[in-house]
Amino acid sequence: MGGAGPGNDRRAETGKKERLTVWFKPRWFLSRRKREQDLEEEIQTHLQMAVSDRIDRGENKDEAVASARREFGNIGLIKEVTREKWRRGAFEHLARDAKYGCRTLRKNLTFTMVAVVTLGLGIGATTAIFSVVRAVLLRGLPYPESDRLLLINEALPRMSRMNVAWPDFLDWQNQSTVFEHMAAIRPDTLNMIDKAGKPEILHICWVSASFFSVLRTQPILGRTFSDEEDRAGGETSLVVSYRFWQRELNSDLDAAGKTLAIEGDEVRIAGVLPPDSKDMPWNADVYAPIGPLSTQPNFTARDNHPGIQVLARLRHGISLTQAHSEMDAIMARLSDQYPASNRGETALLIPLNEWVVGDFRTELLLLGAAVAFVLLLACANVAHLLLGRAAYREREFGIRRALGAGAGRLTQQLIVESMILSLVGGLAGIGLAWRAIPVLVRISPYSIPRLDEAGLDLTVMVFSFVVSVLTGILFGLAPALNTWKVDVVGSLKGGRSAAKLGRSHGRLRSTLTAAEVAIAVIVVTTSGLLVRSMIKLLAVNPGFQVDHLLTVEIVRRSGANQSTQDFFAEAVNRVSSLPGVESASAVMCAPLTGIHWTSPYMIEGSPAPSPSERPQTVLNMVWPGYFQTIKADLIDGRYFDERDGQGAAPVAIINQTLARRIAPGETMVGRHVHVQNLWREVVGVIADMKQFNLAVPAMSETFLPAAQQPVNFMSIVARSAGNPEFIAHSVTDAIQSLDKSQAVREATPMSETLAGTLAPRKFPTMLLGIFSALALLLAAVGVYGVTSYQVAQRTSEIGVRMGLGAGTADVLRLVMSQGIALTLIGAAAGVGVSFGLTRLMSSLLFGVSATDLVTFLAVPLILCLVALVSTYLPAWRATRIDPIEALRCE
Amino acid sequence: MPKKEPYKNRIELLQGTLDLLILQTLQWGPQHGYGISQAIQANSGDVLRVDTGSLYPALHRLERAKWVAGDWQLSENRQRVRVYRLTASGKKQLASEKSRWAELVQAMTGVLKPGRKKG
Repeated sequence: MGGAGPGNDRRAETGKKERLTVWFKPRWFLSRRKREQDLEEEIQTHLQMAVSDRIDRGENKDEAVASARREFGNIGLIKEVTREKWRRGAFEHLARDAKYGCRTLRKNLTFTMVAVVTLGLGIGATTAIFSVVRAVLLRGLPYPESDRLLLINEALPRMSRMNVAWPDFLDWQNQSTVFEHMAAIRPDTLNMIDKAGKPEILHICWVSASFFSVLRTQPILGRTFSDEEDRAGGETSLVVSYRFWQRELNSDLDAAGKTLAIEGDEVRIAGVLPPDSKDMPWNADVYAPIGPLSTQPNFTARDNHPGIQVLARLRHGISLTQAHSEMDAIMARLSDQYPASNRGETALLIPLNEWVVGDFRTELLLLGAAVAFVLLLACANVAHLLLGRAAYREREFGIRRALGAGAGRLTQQLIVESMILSLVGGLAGIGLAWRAIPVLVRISPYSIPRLDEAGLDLTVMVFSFVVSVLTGILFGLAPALNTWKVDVVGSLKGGRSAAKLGRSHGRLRSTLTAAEVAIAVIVVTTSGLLVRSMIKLLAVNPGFQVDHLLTVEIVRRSGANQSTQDFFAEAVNRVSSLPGVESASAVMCAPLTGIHWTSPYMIEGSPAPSPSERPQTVLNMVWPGYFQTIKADLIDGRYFDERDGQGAAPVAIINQTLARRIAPGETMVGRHVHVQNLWREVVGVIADMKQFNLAVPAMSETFLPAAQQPVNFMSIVARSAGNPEFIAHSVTDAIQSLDKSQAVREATPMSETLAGTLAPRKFPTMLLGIFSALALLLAAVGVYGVTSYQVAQRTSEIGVRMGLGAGTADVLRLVMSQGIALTLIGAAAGVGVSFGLTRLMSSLLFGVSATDLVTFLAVPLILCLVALVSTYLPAWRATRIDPIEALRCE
Repeated sequence: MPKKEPYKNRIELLQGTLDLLILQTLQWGPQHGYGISQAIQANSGDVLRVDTGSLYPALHRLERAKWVAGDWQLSENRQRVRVYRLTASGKKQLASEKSRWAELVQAMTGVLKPGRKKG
């Protein structure tokens, strides 16, 4: 008898005990073990009494024991049901199941590791991508009621989007009623002398005084601009960004009132802004009132669009549609009033958030979908593992059922086990995501807005917790439900060859496997399409020779003695005489940078439309020798040379696109085009150069000699004999030595600029590549698993067949056929689904259709090959089965 | 002749009446589980056989509800047995269950008496 010691003392005096019951309720505080012992003892005494009664009635002892037992019933079950009455039951079961589950999982360490790693990869990848999707797509911009913020641009009949003309902005401000506030913003670069006394390029944004009211931002130090400062003739002061305040002003708390040396002037700092979100159109080092610029000629002209965008905040209760219709009405009035500049002009209203996210929505949704598929695959694989293990545990479950465990309890226990697995997997996943997110942010192209805000915060953690629980249910459900089908007698008799169960497991696993292959086909297909796009893109000719080329952007400072023209001429001279430099020249907007000016043009001999309805061309100013340096092909006519100076006849070179548009099939050389208020003779036609990136077709472009149309910012271009990076420093230094006060940016190899334009495509292509590799691997493991399970189930059958003379080929065929059949079914389904889905990603493709035949043939083929290998391995093992051994096992 | 039926159903079916039977049996003095089952069987003229699969869960449930209290004692033949006795609240419960049972019987007989609806 077990319960010696304190138990005996406790039951010594019943009278005292009653009080104890009241105060301590001792029975319900007893340890679990003690209560178990009590119950056991209670049942044993019951049995003993029943036996002795029967013996008293004359039965012999063995018979009495047996019949008392029989009468009593299933002891295990009775205990179990009784225990449930101890209440606290549900929780206690859970704790016990968890403990038991942990023990079982620890015992099968390999199984656990494989499952946890699989889940960890799936959940980790999902978490990482979710954090990105959340940062970029889901989280609103960090401004109060940011959904009411709009960005406004203009459009002309022949120009789909352009900046805003200053007079138009003033009219909007006066006439519109739908906006709480409107502000003009105009990013710019200036020369500044930094705290170390060195010239530095300063990013400045000219803004209306109302800018801060639109954003509802308060300065952390000092003040923002007054309306008086935001006027023609107002004194310019600066509001500096938080970053600039930290970097350049050393977080000086007395920064307000101090001055900065900008373009030779001392400009007073009015205030400091709080930290701002990156990737906003107005991001800059400092902000200055735009009003004082309004006297400049390019501001007063209504047909000029001097880089201004308008930021506006919708009034409460005003919808975007209402705003649209009011702006349309205003633009219609302006069109009538100023037909020369405004006929047909419209205003473009874009919610700020949409502007910031732009095209990345599709891309991120694609990544999200792909990662969800990978997670599904991970679930399917763990379900495979669990089903496989359930087959081995059938006997355990059979015995436990026989000993009185309810099917519900077994199910619960299995679900608890799955939950433990998924939570541990989730933990591993969070760990993985924690490491992966910073890497993701680092390798991502700078162009994905707000990606740097991605991180493992509470929401992301909650998300991955929920995902873990859901995956646990998802992969745990199938094996758990299978416990209901446990055939107690069969599983005890036949061990794990309980045929019925095996078959239902088999069907489930087959379905899972086919689904896995299908999912893998979908993921690999999307990734294949992106890779094919990338290959096509890399084969595109940019129109000039990218390698061995350097560019140095220079914004010429004001207030220098030397003229801007002389400075650039001298710079080109110095650079071209450097050792290692083959040739050098200059251009206003280098190709592939996306920076460009546009201008309306007219052609000699055709009727002149009103200025606002004229077609537009990209306008670029170049130095003699530019086309030769950059190695762009001359199609017709001649290059610019020293003849085309300031006083000489105005000339232009146009690109092929423009030549084709104006006079298809005819020569343009000798004809005249009208740009920038002058008729200019076309002296040459040059091959198209891509202005934005390889994917965007070249726009029509007109080149003018910089001597005839001077500008104050240019890029010096230099072609190097060897690696351009080796001479980058000497190029920068040569230019810097011309003027110690001129800020000069570091020379950039053109190949780097090109890589920068490809980066936004490389990012999703690479991530999808990783996901599709994962998907392939998981699908392969799935196919492998189902085949080796089959081999295990059919060992004796294979043995018999081999005993009867089946050869290696027969066994291979027998075993591999199922896996191959499942792969084919899955691949067919996957191709079908992909066919419907890939068109959603057409905006991300280049040069391949969403139903690209090559991809749609290659991907299923790859999967079949992978499946072939995955089925061959276990099948080959099957051929090694020793028939005698296999039969003896039975 | 033990019946081959799933246990769980019977527990649920007998619950109300089994509680009443146990409480009633304990009214005559503390008794152990085996004794309770024997007493019910004997007092019902062998008609009611208490399934042990229901008895112990029921006893533990009643104890949880504080209608009975269990104690370890020594039996006549010096065996350690767990003896249950009725508590004060158990007595109240017994009274109310009895009256409910009486109502039920009355209602049942009321329904059954008019007999085969044929008439």
